[in-house]
This record gives sequence, C-alpha cells and structure tokens, in this order.
Amino acid sequence: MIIRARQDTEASLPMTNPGQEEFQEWKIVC
Amino acid sequence: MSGNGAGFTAKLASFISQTDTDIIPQWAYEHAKVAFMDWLAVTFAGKDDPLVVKLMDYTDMMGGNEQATIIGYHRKKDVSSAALINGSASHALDYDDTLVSFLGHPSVTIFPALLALSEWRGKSGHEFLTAYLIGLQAGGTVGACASLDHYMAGWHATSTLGHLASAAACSRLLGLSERQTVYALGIGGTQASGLKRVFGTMCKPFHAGRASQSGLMAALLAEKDFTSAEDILEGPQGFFEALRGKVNEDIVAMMGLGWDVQNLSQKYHASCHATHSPLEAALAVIKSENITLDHIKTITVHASTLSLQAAGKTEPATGLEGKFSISYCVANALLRGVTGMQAFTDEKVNDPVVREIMKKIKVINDPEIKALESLVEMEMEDGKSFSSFSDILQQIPPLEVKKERVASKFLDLCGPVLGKRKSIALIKRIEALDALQDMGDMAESLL
Repeated sequence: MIIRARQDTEASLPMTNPGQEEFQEWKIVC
Repeated sequence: MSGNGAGFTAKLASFISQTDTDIIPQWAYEHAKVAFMDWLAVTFAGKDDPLVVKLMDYTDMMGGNEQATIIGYHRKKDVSSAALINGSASHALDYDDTLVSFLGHPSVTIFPALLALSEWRGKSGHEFLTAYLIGLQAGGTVGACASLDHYMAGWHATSTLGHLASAAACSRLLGLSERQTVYALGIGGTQASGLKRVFGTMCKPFHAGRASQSGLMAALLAEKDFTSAEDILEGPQGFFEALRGKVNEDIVAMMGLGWDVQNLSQKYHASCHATHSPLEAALAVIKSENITLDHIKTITVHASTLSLQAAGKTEPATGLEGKFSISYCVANALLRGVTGMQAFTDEKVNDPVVREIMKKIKVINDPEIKALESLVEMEMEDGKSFSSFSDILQQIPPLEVKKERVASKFLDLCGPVLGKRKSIALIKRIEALDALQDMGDMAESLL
C-alpha cells in the first residue's frame, strides 16, 4: 500500500480527549 | 484482530516505508530544518548538565566503537550511546519543542538517533529530514490515538511515543521493508516505558535519550529480521490495551493528508511556560503603542491560578527563580527585549534597573483568565491606558517568523559555546541541509 500525501490540505492531528484541566497540566509539565 | 483498528500497525508501517519522498511538500522540509536548528540549540545548551556528564561517564565505562558525534564534546561514541547522550542533553533544560498530537516533546526522541545513524551510514541531509518528517508524523498519529488518557495514566508520552517515533524514523532512514518496519515498531513498542513519577529528576531528560536509543536499536535489529508482534499497537495486550488508548479511525484516515511538523511549538523564552503569555502581551503593548518605559506608571498582569502557582515568585533572588517569576520576566522583556538563557543569571535578576520596573508590576489572579492566557494592562503617567491579551497555546507563528525566532534562539544558546561566527556559519549549513550529501559533514561541525 502506497500512501500519497496531498499537498492541497493542511490536515492537523489533534490531541484527543483533552479535558481542560488535564490539558493545562500537560502544557505546564509535559 | 478483527473489527475497528485491525491492521493499524501494518498501515503505519506502510506509511513509514512507502510514502513517496517527492510528494512531501517543500514547506515541510523547511519546518524540519527549523526543528533541527532548535534541537541543536537546546542540545548545545544542555550538554554540560550534570546528568549528561554522568551518562558520558557511564558510557565510557561500557566502551564501544567511535561511530557518532557527541555534540559539543569533541568526541565520538557508538551510535547507541550517542543517541542516548545527545537525546538526554537536548531535554535537560526542557527548552525543546512540543507537539500537541504527540502529547509531549517529539524532536528530542527523533533527531538524536537519526543524527547518529545518518553520520554512521553516510546518509544525505534530504534522507535525514525525510526520516524525521515520517517519524514525527508516525509518532503524532499514535499519540493522537493514545489520547491524553495515556499521559494522565502516568506515562511520560515523550518517552513511550518517542520509542515508536524513533523506531519509525530510523526504519525509514535505513530503508527497511514494510515487514521489517512492522517489526521495528514491535521492538520499539515493547520497550516503551517512562513514568511521570520521575519528573523533576535526571530521569525526565533521560527518557528522551533512552527512547531515541531504543528506537534506534529497534530499527537496527529489524534490519536483521529480528521478529516482534505484527500488531504491537492494536493487538490484545499490545500498546494501546496495556498503556491506554485505542485506534481512532478518523486519525488513521488522516495518514498522508498533512504534515504535523507545521504544528511544532518551539519555546522562544528560557523561562517557565506560564510566563510566556504575560511577557508576549507586554511586548505587544509596547510595540503597538510605541511606548517607552519611562512613561509607564503601572503594569497589571492578569493570570490564572495555574500560572501563579507555577510562576508567581514576586522576589526572585537567583537566575533560576527568575524563570518562575512573571513579574521579573515581564520587566526583563520590557527592559532588555532578550528573553533567552542570558536573561536568567543571578546578576540580571538582581539588577537594580530591572527591580525598579518590577515595582510597577502587579500580578493578579483573575478567574476569567484560563490556563496560560494573560491580559496585560498598562497605565501611563499621562492617564492613558493600553492592554493586550495573549494565549501562548494558540500562538504557533508562521514559518518565516519561526525561522527568524529560532535562529535568534540558536545564537543565544550556541554563541557562548561555539562563538558567534561559527554559530552563524552553522545556521547557514542547516538552512542548506536538504542539499547536503553526507550528514557526516554536518556532524563534524558539531563536535
């Protein structure tokens, strides 16, 4: 299987399940 | 395995080994070079940390062939030790980049192994950068599936995901087959570890080096057809089941559709992350209103409880304490405009001039302010007032701005080690990295 990257999109991977409090902790001490 | 998630490891291996180089956009390579420049800067800055010295001693004790450069030491060690030491050095100051999907710091786990392997095997700059982009994307894809649950369970994602990202990048660099890449992910995945319990100790930076080293070993073993599970990520008792997370088909479908390197967030200030929004907001007011310091009567910084807990020191006495003082960081930024390592010496923190500015600054806890946001209000002597809001989490500058800011950071961190002239020359070499025939030449300039 060959995956070809498209150049016409700028898809961004998300951080899934980012609870606000948890996200704050992550950003401070990751 | 049947049902959702079946074949995820194989799909990832296919992406790693089969993605055509010529369809990776040039802007992604430009971002990768910026990331490499940033990684080198923080590695030079961290090279003398005591934990690095201990790792040097440990690996000296073990012996080994001289294959790859230890950055800033005028020495070479075996590739495995080089990945461990350079990786640990680069995370020593916690001044390296982050990627949201990766749940942590990706570059400190990928570049060390790739640099050592590229030097040893004589790979080109383009191959090096391609492998980085592929490894970063693979790591981000697994991270997005693992979700923040993985991190909150106690896993230091930089380390766990770093094992896989390094294995992915090294597999690509070595040109492993799809099947060998599956094994490399399996070997990397089964070594994945790293607990947040050790934060605040030498083990946090060690995680970065160890992940890079383990991924390197995984790819080199897979090159010899060393076997492992073929479904390390999605399989029963595999990575996700044991360490939390699950295959997210929406994430899987994104493979090959974009390059997350553009979302890397470099740190531009050598202080606690909670000081970044206040000083950015303060600088924005000064710049937009063309204000001189003499005309400021008071500065009020609105910050969250979290930011105040992390960086609420009002009377910092040392350079280190200054990094955790919003009032010092704001005063320093306004006075000097320099927010790199050189701003955090005992002398700079205790400078009477900066102390006078700090007297004008009041940092208050504002329940309306969330996370690392900040609102800065300035009242002038003539009664006028101005304000600016900043949320550093939302501020990933465009490529051209990143280039400029990372080059400035590079000079700040490498200048004291290499000298200004050599640092500038190195910046030029990094900017032309995709045309370099042999990464050994680059490594030579990092000794």
